[in-house]
Amino acid sequence: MLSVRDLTKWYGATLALDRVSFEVGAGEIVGFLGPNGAGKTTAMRIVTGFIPASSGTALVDGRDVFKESLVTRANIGYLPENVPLYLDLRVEEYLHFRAKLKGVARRTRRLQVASAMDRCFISDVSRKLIGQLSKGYRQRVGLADTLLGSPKLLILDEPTVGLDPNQVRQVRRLVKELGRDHTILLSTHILPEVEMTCDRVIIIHRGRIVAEDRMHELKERMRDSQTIYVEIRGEGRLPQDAMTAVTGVTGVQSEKTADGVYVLHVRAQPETDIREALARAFFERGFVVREMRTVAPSLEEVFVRVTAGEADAAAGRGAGAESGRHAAVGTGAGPGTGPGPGPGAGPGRDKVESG
Amino acid sequence: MDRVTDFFAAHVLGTVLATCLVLLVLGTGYGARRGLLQKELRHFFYSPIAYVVTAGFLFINGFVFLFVVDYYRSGSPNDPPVRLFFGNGFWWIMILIVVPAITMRLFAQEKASGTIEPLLTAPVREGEVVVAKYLASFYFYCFLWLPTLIFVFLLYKYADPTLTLDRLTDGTKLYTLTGWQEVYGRLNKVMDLGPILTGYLGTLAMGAAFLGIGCLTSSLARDQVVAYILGFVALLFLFSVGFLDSIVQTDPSWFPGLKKTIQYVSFMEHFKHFPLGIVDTRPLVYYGTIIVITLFLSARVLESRKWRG
Repeated sequence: MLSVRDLTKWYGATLALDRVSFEVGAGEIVGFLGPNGAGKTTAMRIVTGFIPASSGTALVDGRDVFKESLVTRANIGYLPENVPLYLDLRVEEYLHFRAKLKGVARRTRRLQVASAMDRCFISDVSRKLIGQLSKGYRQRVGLADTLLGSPKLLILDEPTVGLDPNQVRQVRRLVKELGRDHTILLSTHILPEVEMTCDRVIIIHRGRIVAEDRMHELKERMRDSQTIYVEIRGEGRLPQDAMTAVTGVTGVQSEKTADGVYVLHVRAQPETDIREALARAFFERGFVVREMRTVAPSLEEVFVRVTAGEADAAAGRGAGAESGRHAAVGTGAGPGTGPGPGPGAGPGRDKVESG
Repeated sequence: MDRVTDFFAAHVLGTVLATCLVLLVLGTGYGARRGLLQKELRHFFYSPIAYVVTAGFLFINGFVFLFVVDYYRSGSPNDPPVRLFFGNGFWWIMILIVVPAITMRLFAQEKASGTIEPLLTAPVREGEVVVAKYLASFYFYCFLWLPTLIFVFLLYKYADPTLTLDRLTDGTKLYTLTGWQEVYGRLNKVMDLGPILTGYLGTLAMGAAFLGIGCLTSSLARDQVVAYILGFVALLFLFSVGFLDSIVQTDPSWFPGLKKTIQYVSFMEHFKHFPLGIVDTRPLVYYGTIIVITLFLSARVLESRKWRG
């Protein structure tokens, strides 16, 4: 469906994309992940034909996006970052305009607009001015717009940024639903979003693809240790020797949450199951285990791993903290809210990104 | 006047005017095809500012009209009335101020708010966008002048028919016509309709050229205020070049054709004859050239994101 080869983009002397290549198969939902300023938006703008690449090609359905721009543009539904809309038009009016602009025939226009509004749950505000709508509604107006003209490929640039947790869930569900009959490439720096909606993830950092795989395979590859969450209660001090007695334990983080209650994050070597031995060790020292579970390595960890070690890692951690907040409200399918690799100063952090 | 040249001139003029009209109709069809023109017109007419501007515009024009009428009541002026209404100082100031205000929004706002991105990633050509935006601004400009037709009506209603211009034209033969021509004839009996029509024609044609320039400056700027100032300065220059004409007495040796060049460029010079009832094709061609060039450049500027580093 979408095939990108050796895409390179220079902004003056700045290299925004460095020989980026990837494929998106028909019917796939692919997450485009990266810290702010990694080149996600640039890549999407090139694919949608808004700006050309310095070198390399992007093919949509086998057609070059630059050489056969009009044809490929008709096949793409694009939701730009921050969802720019005409605030002085009414929702219905705007969507009718967009439908006409995309060459939807007069006979089917009304129907298409109505069904797009239906699918994005904005029928109730169809007569409202876009300028009076909340951010969540605007986001959905933008999404409804991408559906007009029934494009095969949807490109969504940060569809959930700036939304409250409920709206994030709605949009996420919507994207998942749209994935049934569209191919979707979506960019984000909110990790749970990718984990929940996407079949495959591409992590981009400083203009390069640093990781690309199916979700579980990616996690599998990154698993060189495992973490076990344990909550124990008992008299006295934390029995440090219980952990050292069990073979395979490589480290532990502990925290006293209430009187006699400890929360532990025990790190162990991969491919071993130490849970039973661990439980026994605690029990022998007079502690009862209230809860114990393996924490799957979150995409967050993967993300930080592949993009860390540089200044941008801070952005990654920040996003991680944000993800924690979303997941807390979350859908239950959320990732372990557990040991974030370092909780950043989550709240109050605003996103600043360009290009 | 020589019958042959008369016939020839009428045909050249007719052809030029007909071409303008056909272009306008074709352009409207082109711009409306994808709903772009309708959308641009909506932006104009949904904004309360549009009506404030229209009201202010009409208010000032009303004063000018009052002044002209009063001037005629109180004496026997040398200038023909239409010449006083079109092409006076107020008229120039109003156009110089209003035109960039109409066009500043066109591209600058879309760029500032980011809406240019969904617009240009839809399957449309840059040219379609430019033509639609330009035509919308032209229609809004026409809308601004529309209420001034009230003045024509007022004159028709209250002017003394015994003081008609019959003595200037041997009317009787001309007015034995039917239908709308009869209406025209009746109007023409009370006032000299020719200069009024050419005055409007000149105003619209010159405005069209100005709007083209405003369109270009808006496509260059990212900010509406910058777009306005750029447009205003450009128009002010093309207008005030006319003053140079009276300053430069003789051509300097290093630029033999200076005076002539100034006259070619000056908008003042080009507009001079319209309110006298003379339709010269040269200014029309000049305006047309400006429109074509500025719209072409606007489209290139929009495309420039594709080849700039």
